[in-house]
Amino acid sequence: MRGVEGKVVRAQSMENSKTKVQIRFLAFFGGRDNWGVDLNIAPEATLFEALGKIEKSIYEEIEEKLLRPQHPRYAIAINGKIVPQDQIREARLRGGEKITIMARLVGG
Amino acid sequence: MGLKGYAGKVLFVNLDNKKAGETLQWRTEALNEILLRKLIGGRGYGAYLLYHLAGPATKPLDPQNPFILSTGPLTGTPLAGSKFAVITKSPLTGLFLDSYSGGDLAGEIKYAGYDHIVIQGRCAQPSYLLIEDEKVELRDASHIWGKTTFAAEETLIKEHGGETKILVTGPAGENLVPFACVCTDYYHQSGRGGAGAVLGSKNLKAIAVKGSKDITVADSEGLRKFRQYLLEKFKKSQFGDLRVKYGTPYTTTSASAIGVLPTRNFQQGSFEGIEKINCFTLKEKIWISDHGCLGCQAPCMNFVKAKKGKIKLVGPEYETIALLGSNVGVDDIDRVAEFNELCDAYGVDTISSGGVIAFAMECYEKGFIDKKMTDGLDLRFGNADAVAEMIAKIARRDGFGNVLADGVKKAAERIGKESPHFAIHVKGMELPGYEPRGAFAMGLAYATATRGGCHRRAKPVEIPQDRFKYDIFGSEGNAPMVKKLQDFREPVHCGILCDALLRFCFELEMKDIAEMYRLVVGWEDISPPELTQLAERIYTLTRCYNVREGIRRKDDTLPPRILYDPLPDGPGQGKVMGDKTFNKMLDEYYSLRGWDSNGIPLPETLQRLGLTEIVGDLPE
Repeated sequence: MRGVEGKVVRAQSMENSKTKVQIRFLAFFGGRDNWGVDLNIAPEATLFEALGKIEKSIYEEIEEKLLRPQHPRYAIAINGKIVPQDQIREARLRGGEKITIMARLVGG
Repeated sequence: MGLKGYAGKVLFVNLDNKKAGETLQWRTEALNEILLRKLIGGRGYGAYLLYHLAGPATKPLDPQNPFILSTGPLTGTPLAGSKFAVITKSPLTGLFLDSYSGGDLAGEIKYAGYDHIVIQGRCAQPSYLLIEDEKVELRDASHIWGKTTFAAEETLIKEHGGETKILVTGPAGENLVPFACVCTDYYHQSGRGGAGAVLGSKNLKAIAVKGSKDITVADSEGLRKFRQYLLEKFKKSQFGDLRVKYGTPYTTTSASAIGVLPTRNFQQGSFEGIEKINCFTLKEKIWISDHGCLGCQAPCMNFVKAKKGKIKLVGPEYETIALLGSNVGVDDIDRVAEFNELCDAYGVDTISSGGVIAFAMECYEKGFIDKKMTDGLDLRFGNADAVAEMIAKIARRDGFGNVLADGVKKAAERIGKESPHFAIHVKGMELPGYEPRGAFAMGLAYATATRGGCHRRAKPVEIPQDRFKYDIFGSEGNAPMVKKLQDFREPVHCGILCDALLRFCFELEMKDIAEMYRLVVGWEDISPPELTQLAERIYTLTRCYNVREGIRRKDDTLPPRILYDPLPDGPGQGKVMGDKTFNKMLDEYYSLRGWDSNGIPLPETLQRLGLTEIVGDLPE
């Protein structure tokens, strides 16, 4: 019983705390590629809210290259799965996700 | 000849059952200048030669099947990424084959004074061909027969010097494996379709070429400025720098995210182990230095060294990572590099090898084959040791390797049960690294590529939707896009330059290709519409070749798994292409090409394209 109670306590405390996601840039953003940041977000935050926490100049680059174009040449993925363009603003995060921003390129 | 850029001659060699040291029959013919404006060179002129030299009566491994080395007027000039093409009848498909390679050999063929080298016949014993300008000799190859491509090339370079450029086949070519490749400059392969087996069938281990001539161009100052223009285009290119920094492996991560990365014999389109085989891991774990092709302004290859590797090698490229990584369930870039080295050393295509081994792994996991059949190998997905062993067994046609050595189509026929459902090929050629259920247009591109399951004629998965309006999971817009992409590559493959470079790094358009021909050849009035018509002509000519071999609409199809089964993951999850969508794309495509509903070019199309001489070869 003690173990079960422990799990419940931990779950409750998670709901009240901030959680982390990792954002990795695999294309050139901020003048370099293959770099990342860890962000604290509120539980159940949207992907759009998470992106809004990135340094302003980088966020503006994301907006210009990824969010604003109807058919962008860049893509964003959560845990390795691409997020459709029309779902980027609403996609929910639970914490612990790996968010990847990459060129929408395929092929050799 | 009046035209610049060309060497001006075709060299015809008849091996005619000769032994080393015996006088060889060879002759040269001047290029037909009227044909040059219609077909340019490379794939176009080579297709014309093959059409007239190898009809339906000639089997791929017959002595009379020509092994044609083709260059174009842009080859060897200071433009982006010179290449040569091997053109022959494919042992894998029995159809038209063109397979391209970089390296220095492309230029050397031109420097020796030839635009095309056509080899027919069969040597009486293992030999190699030595071409030094007007000297054409057959030499004894008994000391390199049976050796790996690396060892054979090294031996010949020691004998002839580094200025001699070598094309060589490996043990797989000697054993007539129909997806055996030919290799040059150690690190470059004409991989697809089995050109190595054609060389092996001729008892020809290698071709060594050394030239002393120059190539003249029509406007050298203009060409210098055009190179500058290319560099400016490169600076403005969105992704050119990524291409140069990481090479083709850059796109493995996005391919997996988009859901088009073949995984476990095309059972999935995303790979959970992608981070262990992507370009960043490659750079961190096995990368040594960068490498590039002759005359390339944007070198994109990686020198790597695998832990178990004997040499440093170039690769693994995207296709190799896809087919010998995710598609066989191996999530270790070091092992993928090792597989790459094994394939190159034995001289087998990495794409077909990965395709056929993944097929065998699925058969094994489904219980269609067992350890008794696999010579004791535990052929489960992810077993890297088994993959390495199978590559060697295929090349040597050893045990179960002999079952897989004839390609996935024939392996499925032999294994039977439900295995043809997941034998992933088009017209006998194993599919490369793009899952069509993640972008339906890719399926149309595979089905209509003249050499079979091929990604080099059109690659719709890479096209952003701001350039073409098309439906990723439907049929709308797909046929015109595929045709346009195929047409763009034709004049590039006639040049012959690197289509990947022109596309990724410079983002060139047809007007730029026309400008290259104006500057190099001196065709002052060549225009994009003329090049588009030329592209249609060559595409239809190669189609006519295949139609003459019996190809019809029923052959322009996809594996049942791709057509009828939904993908379990990725953006394409649950989507089914099906006959209706596929046939709609195919009908529209045929119509755009001026072919009838059975895929046979119409007489009026042949007339419009200046191909009336072959009307009589086609069924009514």
